[in-house]
Order: sequence, then structure tokens, then C-alpha cells
Amino acid sequence: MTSIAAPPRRRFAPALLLALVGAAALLDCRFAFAAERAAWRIDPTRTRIGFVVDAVGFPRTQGEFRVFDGRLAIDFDRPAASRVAFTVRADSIEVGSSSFDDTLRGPNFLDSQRFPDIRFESTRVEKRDETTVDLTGDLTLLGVTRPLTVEVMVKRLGGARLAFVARAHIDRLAYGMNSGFPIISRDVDLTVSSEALSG
Amino acid sequence: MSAAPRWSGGIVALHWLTAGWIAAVFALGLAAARADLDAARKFDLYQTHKALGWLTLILLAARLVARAARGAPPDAPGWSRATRWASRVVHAALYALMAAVPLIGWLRVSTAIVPIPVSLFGLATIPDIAPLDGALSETLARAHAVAAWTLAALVAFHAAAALKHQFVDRDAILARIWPSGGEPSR
Repeated sequence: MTSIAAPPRRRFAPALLLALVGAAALLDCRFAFAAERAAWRIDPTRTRIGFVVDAVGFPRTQGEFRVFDGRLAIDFDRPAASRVAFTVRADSIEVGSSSFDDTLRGPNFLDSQRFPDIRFESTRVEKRDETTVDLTGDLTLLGVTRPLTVEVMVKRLGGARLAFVARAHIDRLAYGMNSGFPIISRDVDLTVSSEALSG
Repeated sequence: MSAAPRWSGGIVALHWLTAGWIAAVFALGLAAARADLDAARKFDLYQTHKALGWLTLILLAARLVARAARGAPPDAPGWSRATRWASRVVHAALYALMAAVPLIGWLRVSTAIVPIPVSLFGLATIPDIAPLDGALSETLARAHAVAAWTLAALVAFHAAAALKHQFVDRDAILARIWPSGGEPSR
């Protein structure tokens, strides 16, 4: 620290800033973990965030979200130290009909103008077996945050590639999305299939 | 040759436009309800059916205004009292059902548990006219179907009667509503 804090004259303010950032980073436990966890970014061209909803007297609706971002920090030796965060743009929903999309984006369903993002952030990772982990986290939908457990099947593809398929059941009523119930099921089945790249 | 009494040009045009329009709306409704399609196609069929169905109310209103303004031709000469009476009842029932079917449909949409209002192809959203009531909405859905099938049966009867007058009675009544230029022989 001293060497950073003692550059030639009149460079005191930037040097102090650097020193403070450095100290904060060293004090932050999460930073220490991150040094051992590998950062992965999802490959958007090989990622599909799909969902299925059933209804009475209407065919099963299948769709996907086209715009999303995901960050993974994976520790293969200590899975519990891994972290996952996903953000999905609510208005990127697509079910194969623009007027149906508009209805789902509207105030009765995703209300995407008021709640543009759907977020998931892991809080606990438990390894079930060699290929499966149970990911527990917080899902924020329509501004409501509720715990959600996601079953994730992970496969290392060799090199710097990782494939995974995550499945979860979302009870939309828990997030206040009540429209159409009970004609439209309360259960939304979510499947995320993705590939992540190291670094 | 004196000109035979006819419906006014506007009413003739509206009559055939309404006929084609309602046939299309009926076919769309039938396909939406019965066809084995995926959710997106089915949604689009229902939305198109709802929009065109709602617009039949506008067509009907235009027709009633035109009829009030231009009047109807006099009764066909030589018709019995029973034929005149039957003709009036059938025509009144056709008008009533042309109003009732879309109105019941609009009420069904308004009260439905799944809130998807009538949208005129994204240009305008038609407001709901009743509060949400799932049980009432299902009853209205059945009433809408019964009324639509009754209208279809009555239209078939109306067309069959016109053909009977044209080819059996040969009383030239069909010429009154036939588009001018290509009218059937009198």
C-alpha cells in the first residue's frame, strides 16, 4: 500500500482512492472466494429460456424470453460456494403471435412497463449427485421476491464450455399474477437450457 | 318497362357486405373453438373473430340507419298474408340475431376470467361492458354459440326462401336485393 500511496508529488488523491479500493477488496470475503471461483458467462446463442403454461379449454402455451443476461461463478471443488444470477427482460417474451405477446406483456400478466426485469439470484447451491445441483435463490417477478428452487443438470463439455439445463416450477399466484386463474394454470414450468463459456 | 321496386343501392351493398362478413366471422369463431391448433394460432383466431365480430355491430348500425333513411320497398304483390307475415318475422329475427350474437360475445369477453378485451387490430381497444364474472361468462359463451347457430340456420332458411321465390314462385323478389347490373331475370 505504501508504495502506491507514495508516488511523486500532487498525485495524492488518486493514490488514496486506489489504496482504499485495494483495502476494501482485501477486506471483502466475497472477493477472496471469487479468486477461487471461475467466472462463466452464458452464451446467448446457445441459451433458451422457455416456459410452458396450461389452461382449461385452450392449448398449452409455450414461449420463451429472448433477452437475458446471466452470470455464473462456479467452484467445482466446493459447489456450495458457487453463485448464479440471471436477469430476463419481461418484454422480450415470445409465444409466436405478436398480439398474444402484447397481452402477456400487458398489465394483466407481466406488466413489463412497470416491471421491466425478472431476476433470479442464487442464495444456496447444494450438490445432489455428480450431474445435478439444487439451486435455491430469490426470484423477483412483478416486484415480488420469493424463494425458488431450481434443479440444474450440469455437464462439462470439455475445454471452456459448460452445458446446463435448469428446471423450476413457478407459482405465479405467489407473485400476484392472478389474471385468468383458474382457467389459466397457476403453475408455470420454466426450463433454461444453456451453455456457458469460461472467462 | 316500368322499374320494379328495389332496395336502395346502399342497403343492397350493406346486405351483401354483412352476409360475407358474418359468414367469415362465423367461420373464424368455429375454427377458433374447434380447430386443433397451437396456442398462438388459436389466440390469433379468437382475436380476429372478436374484432370482426364487434365490427358487425357497426355494419348493422349503418344498415339500420340506411333503412330508416331510405325505407323498404312495398310488399311483393300477390303474396298471401301468411307469406308477408313469415317474411317480416324472419327479417326481424335476422336483425335481432345480428345484434344479439355480437352483443352476447362482447359481454362474454367483458366478463371472462381471462381478461383479453376486444382489440381492433391494435388500433383501438374496445372497453369491457360488464364486470368479471366467470360463471356468467361461461353461460354467455354457450348463449353466444346457440345464438350464432340459430342465426346460421335462419340465414340458411332466408337464402332457401329467396331461391324458392326465384325459381319456384318466379316472383322476382330476389331482384330487389340483387346487386344492379347482374340481376337475376325478372
